[in-house]
Amino acid sequence: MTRHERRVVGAAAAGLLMAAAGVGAASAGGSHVDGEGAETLTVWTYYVTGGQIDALDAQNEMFEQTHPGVKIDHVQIPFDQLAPRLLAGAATGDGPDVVLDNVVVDFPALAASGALLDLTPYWDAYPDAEQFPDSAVWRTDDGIFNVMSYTNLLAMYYNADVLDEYGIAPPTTIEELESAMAIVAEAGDYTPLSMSGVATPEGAWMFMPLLLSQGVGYCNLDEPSVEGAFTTLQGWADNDYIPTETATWDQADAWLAFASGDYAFGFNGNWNLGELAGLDFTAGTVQLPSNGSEGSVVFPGGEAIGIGSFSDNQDLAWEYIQSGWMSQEASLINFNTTGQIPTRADLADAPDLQANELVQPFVAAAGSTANWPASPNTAAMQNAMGQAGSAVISGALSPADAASQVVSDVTSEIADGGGSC
Amino acid sequence: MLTTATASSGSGSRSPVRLAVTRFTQQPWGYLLPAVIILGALAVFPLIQLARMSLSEVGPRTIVGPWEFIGWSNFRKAFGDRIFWQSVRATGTFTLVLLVVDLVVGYLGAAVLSSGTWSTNLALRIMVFVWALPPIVSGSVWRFLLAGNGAINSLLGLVGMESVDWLSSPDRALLSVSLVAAWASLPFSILVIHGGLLSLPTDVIEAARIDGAGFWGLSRHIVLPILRPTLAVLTVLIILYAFRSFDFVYVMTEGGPGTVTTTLPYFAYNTAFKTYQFGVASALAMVSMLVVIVLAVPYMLGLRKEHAG
Amino acid sequence: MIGVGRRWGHAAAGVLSVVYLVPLAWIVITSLKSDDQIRGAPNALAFTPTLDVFREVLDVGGGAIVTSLRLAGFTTLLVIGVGVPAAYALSRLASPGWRRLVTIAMGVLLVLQMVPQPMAVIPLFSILARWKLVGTLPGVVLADVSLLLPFAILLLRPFVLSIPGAIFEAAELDGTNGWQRFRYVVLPLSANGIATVGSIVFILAWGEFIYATTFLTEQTRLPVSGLLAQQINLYSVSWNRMMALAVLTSLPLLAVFLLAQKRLVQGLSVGAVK
Repeated sequence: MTRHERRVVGAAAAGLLMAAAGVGAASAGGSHVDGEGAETLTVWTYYVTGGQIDALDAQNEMFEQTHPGVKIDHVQIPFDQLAPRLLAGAATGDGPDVVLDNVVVDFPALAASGALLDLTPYWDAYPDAEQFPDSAVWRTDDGIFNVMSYTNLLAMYYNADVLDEYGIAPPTTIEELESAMAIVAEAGDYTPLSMSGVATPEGAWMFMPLLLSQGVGYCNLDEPSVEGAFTTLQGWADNDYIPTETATWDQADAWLAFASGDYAFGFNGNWNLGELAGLDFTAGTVQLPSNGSEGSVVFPGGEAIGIGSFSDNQDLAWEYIQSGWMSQEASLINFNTTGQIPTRADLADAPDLQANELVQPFVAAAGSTANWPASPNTAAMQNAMGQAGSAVISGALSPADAASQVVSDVTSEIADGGGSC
Repeated sequence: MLTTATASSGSGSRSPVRLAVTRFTQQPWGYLLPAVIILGALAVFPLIQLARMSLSEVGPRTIVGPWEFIGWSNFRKAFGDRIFWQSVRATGTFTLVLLVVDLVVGYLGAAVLSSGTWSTNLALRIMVFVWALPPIVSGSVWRFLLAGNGAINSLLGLVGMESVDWLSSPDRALLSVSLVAAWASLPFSILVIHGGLLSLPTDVIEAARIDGAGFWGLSRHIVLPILRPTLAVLTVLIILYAFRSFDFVYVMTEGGPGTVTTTLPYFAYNTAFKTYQFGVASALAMVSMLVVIVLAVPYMLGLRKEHAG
Repeated sequence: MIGVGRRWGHAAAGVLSVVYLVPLAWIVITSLKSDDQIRGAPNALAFTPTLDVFREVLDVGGGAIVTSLRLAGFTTLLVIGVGVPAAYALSRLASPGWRRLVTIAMGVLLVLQMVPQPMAVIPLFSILARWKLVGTLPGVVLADVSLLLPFAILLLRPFVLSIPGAIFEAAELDGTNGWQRFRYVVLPLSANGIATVGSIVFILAWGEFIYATTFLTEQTRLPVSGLLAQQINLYSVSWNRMMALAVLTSLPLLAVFLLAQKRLVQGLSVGAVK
């Protein structure tokens, strides 16, 4: 190194050491008051593009207009880092004012970590509280930590052009679906079904309805029923109704496949409704076909809202959640922009929701949901189910082996987590 | 040798700071000190936490807060999990593929690309540029290329062969992911070996070539022995990488289909950040660490031989 | 140089270039597709390209590149500045006691690298929070240094080792002190290694995103790696944006590598110094 280079290195090192001596400013989260007396609320989400961000922006704008002097700062965190970030901050007293988290798998960890504020006092005083179903209010023994203003659900999309071509009516039961898929597979021009079978909770979410239709959920799994559902899946793979790749496809992959126009049916969620206009074929929607006496039942997904424990502006944060998310007006803005279904009961018959025909199956699904397991090991259980399903679809495991494995895994996770489910 | 009696004759300085600096630069540990300070401050604490977590109950509900000491329970749970053993085997395959490709193709590639022609320089630049792409990008690209209707299958179709389920067949998925990881790490290997080749003593090589040695003879008798330290460290780093990285598994198959491509590091990551069982995940990480140390023992023993006077 | 003919050189260069260019081509092609084209035919080769995505990505990408340059730059300087002396110390043997220490030190360096990065995040977070470095660039730099320093030392050692002992002895006889030997013997003769390892560290710091996204959350300060990670979430993946970002943000990397590469390709020969 020349003398000049060494000086540069020395200067850089000195600069870094000075900064490390504590002169740096830490402002990664939390609200603060800036010069003009305006208050800022920090909101963390993992929203990326499209409808969800547009809805958030519109809701924020509405809130800022009705609450002058308040600014909402939306911070986008990559999906995988949101929960770890909250957990890391919980230990050091750092975090946002409001967060939208992946409640379905992350709730037990987030609630117990102290990263989220107990909302019970706010919720008890909330006049609209009774509008929300129990499944929208996420509790532990220590309080309420998350509430859902909207939910994302699964239903079945179909390529109306393909169905017309073969004279098929949209199926309502699994048997009807299989007959329809047989016709499509026989003709060979289209692949019957696109769905997600990835070895994670995402895949599990998509084929659990096969069991939910029979009244079987995570908390009451029995081997015969599970084996039956897996045999159905295996049949679809063997008959080429679903490509083997399904075993590694997530929701986004499954949608990409359906949107290409090469598929007759697609299991997917309401968040893709906004994409239908851009497709070069006509699509329709119908509830997921029923596989048993309970009819079509799904697990409700989506993000839930919480207040950061270390927020300096908890009351304002709750005000934001109330007016900017849970209110009728906000819920409708969200629905109209994204197709995400409001959880409020008093909106179930709203004209906005009734107007759009394609949304109806999702609205109906919202009225027929199963409860997620209440075990702290819910993530591990869903993961095990996803792995089992993926193994069956790819042929790595037989339905019998997969069923016995997953039932024993889930049972031990339930026991491990304290027994309640 | 570093320590000599004639040390301060050259500097002739008297200020205490200068004297301290002089003392530091005389002893080997002076040169080691900055690294020790930085690593001691930043890297050791996470290691200690990892060890502590592996011996404690750290689950979804107990991540923040006091951890209950439970001895070897996490390890027992890990060893009793069928996925653990599967993941060890998967990691073994993964490591083997990486070693073979990165070392063998790496050496041959580096040897050939050291000729210094415009084409080899260009190839080197392209390779390093692609290597610099984050796994999220290169892994995603290969995911599309290896998809059912992807480019590779289209090529196969052109020559009349059937499509292959590269990433979703239980028999092929692991090999596919391993090969992509090997493809991604090959430029690094070539770059390191290339750097070593540039430092070869040209006079010795010239002499051998005048004596009639060809490429293979030169390699066996002269080049590879000289490159031994470089190749040894590269081997260790590759093994380290195989037991530590899960990027390509995560991006391409998420451990599937089923648990076929769940390597040990992916299993640990999944256990920690998808199911929040940090205690067990830490035990898995400690076991991985142990395996790597054991595999690195030949390297550590070889260190003694490396010390030149 | 070592007996490989030019023809083999050209042939190998050709094969390797193809194997590495094909994915690169896919990236570029995808970055020129519109959202509809991605949906309709993600693998199609024939399509009408559009620069819309690049335009969209340009302003976010520009700021991210600056952050990445600073982040990777400072990390590399610190890693090399601390790592080269450390590698030197671990390769020169003063005494049997030192020899044992070296073996232990190498073991420690290996062990430190086996701490999974995502799991090191949470303890590191509390350390950086204590020093009020969370949300700052120096914080991430320190985190990246702690990640890459062991790796760099391990990699630098062979280059330092390759300096023949005879040169050191000669320097000693000339009456130089330790520092002068380091400055005038070690540094010039391991310049290849320093340039190589420095480039590698720069590239790795550029691509590191776990520490970057956990310790820097403000949107405006996100480096390139974080931007890329953001393109994937539960509901969708924006492939064209991701690929456009990848292209855009790799160009500075290429520039840095080209600068360092001149040294690498021409190189210094130990024989010449003798």
